[in-house]
Amino acid sequence: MGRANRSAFVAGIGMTGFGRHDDRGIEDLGQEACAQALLDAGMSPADVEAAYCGSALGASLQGMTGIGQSVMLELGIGRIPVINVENACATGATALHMAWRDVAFGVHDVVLVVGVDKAVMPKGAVLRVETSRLETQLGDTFPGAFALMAQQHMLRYGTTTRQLAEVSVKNHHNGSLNPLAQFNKVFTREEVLGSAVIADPLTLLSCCPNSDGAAAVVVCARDRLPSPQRSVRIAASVLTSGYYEPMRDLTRWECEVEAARLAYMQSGLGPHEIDCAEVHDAFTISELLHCEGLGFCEPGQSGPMLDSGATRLDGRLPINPSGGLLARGHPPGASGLAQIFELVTQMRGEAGPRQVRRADSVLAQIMGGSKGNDSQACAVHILSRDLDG
Amino acid sequence: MQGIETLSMMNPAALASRPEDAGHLAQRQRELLGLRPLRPNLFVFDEFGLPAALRGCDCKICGRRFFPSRRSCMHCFTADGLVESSLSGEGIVHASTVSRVRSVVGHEPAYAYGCVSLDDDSLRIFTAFAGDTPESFQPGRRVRLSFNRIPATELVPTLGYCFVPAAGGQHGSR
Repeated sequence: MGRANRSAFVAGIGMTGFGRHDDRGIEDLGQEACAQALLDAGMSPADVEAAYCGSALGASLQGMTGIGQSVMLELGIGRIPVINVENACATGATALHMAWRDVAFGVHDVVLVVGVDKAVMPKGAVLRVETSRLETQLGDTFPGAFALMAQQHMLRYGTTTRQLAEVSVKNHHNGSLNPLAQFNKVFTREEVLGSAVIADPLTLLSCCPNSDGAAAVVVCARDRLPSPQRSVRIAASVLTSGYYEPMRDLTRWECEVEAARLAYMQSGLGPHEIDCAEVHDAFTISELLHCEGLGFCEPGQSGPMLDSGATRLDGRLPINPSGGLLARGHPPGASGLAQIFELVTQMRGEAGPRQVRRADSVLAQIMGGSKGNDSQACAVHILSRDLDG
Repeated sequence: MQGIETLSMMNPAALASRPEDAGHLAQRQRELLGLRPLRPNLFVFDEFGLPAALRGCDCKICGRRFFPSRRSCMHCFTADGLVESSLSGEGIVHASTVSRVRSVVGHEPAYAYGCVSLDDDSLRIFTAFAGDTPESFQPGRRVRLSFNRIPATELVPTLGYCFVPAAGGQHGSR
């Protein structure tokens, strides 16, 4: 990619509550998040020059296409370019990356980004996606794929089911402090370990829910910032795809390692300069692997890092203060933007009882899908309060 | 159906050369005949029309082996150097899990799957496990290739593959 010629900023954020919204449509949820984000930015629909809309499942679950245009219609935004984005669980972050490109490379000055999905399934039903994959037809499930990684990490590094459960305990504690989270309930380690086994060694409370919800962000050029003191700079925006190595190490994703390397290079920051992070904890093992893949600790050391308390709200590097996917919930199209919502809230010091001590440089990481022994996509964003970087 | 492989009927001439196998062959044909292969070009078939191996491909330029077979080498970006190959049929369980929930295409729990490191191929492939208790397919166990109708109620009758315990084989290096 060429060199960006100017900085891009997050000027406004919005998010619906995540959970179950049986009586609301996708357009309705998207509109709420967008309206909040514009209001937060101090902008009106007339200021928006382009929009990206991420929905990972709208086409397959609701039979909807053109969701971005439908949401913009609700907002009274027309005529401008509206691009619909799908990149599995990295959908929302991919939409943000595209908006960052537009602003950083001077295509537009104000871009609205929204992610939305309605993914709550009937009780007992599994998410009906990727049914044509070879692995799926042989029996693969989302939890099972991560169970294989958990087993490998346990065998190689001695990671324990107790440590896996502690990720869920921590994130549900954080979620209990987040009014927009799907689950506001704490669980004990024993409850996590004693919940139904989904795929050995992962239990029900080791897995994130499928959720309904939307999140939105306004990305803006410096000279259009209505409120610089409430804005944060996008210090890095990186999107990678998988490296399809047949003998891949199941305890890490190459696309994540590469995305992190590029994001640190782009931002000029290192992993030890990150104050707080939101990572893709679709399953408990995921958070541990991401701590290693992002360089927050050495390979195999994520269990001891968790045990040390470093990733708690009061630790040196709080991970998933929002509750993460495990507790905040996971509408796949929106999750990447919900991470940004949380991090900006933390950077503004407005996170209430879950406020972390320091949030000057923060990181969001999310991945999407799986293909050929790697993830299909990985997005890493680094946000900075230093507006002049 | 154009473009879709289906198993052919038993070749009488070939069967005549191995009469002692007739019972076994007939049983396998009853089980597998007419199934739609999981993917076109995924299997190598024997003279009786039965699946005999998984089909991969080798790049003559860089030496890499791929499964499933591909149209071009992802490293050399050429199709010219690719030749089809049969994968080895034995290996070691590298990773495994037991799913305790029904799959999206209708595998009934509990069932096992995971990855197998093939003996000769520098390949680690995804597979279902069968032929023993789901919990028994722990990493390190020796397994061999087999073929079955995929036990998924929401698929059309589909020819798939799985790995089953290897005769006499216990554990090896992963």
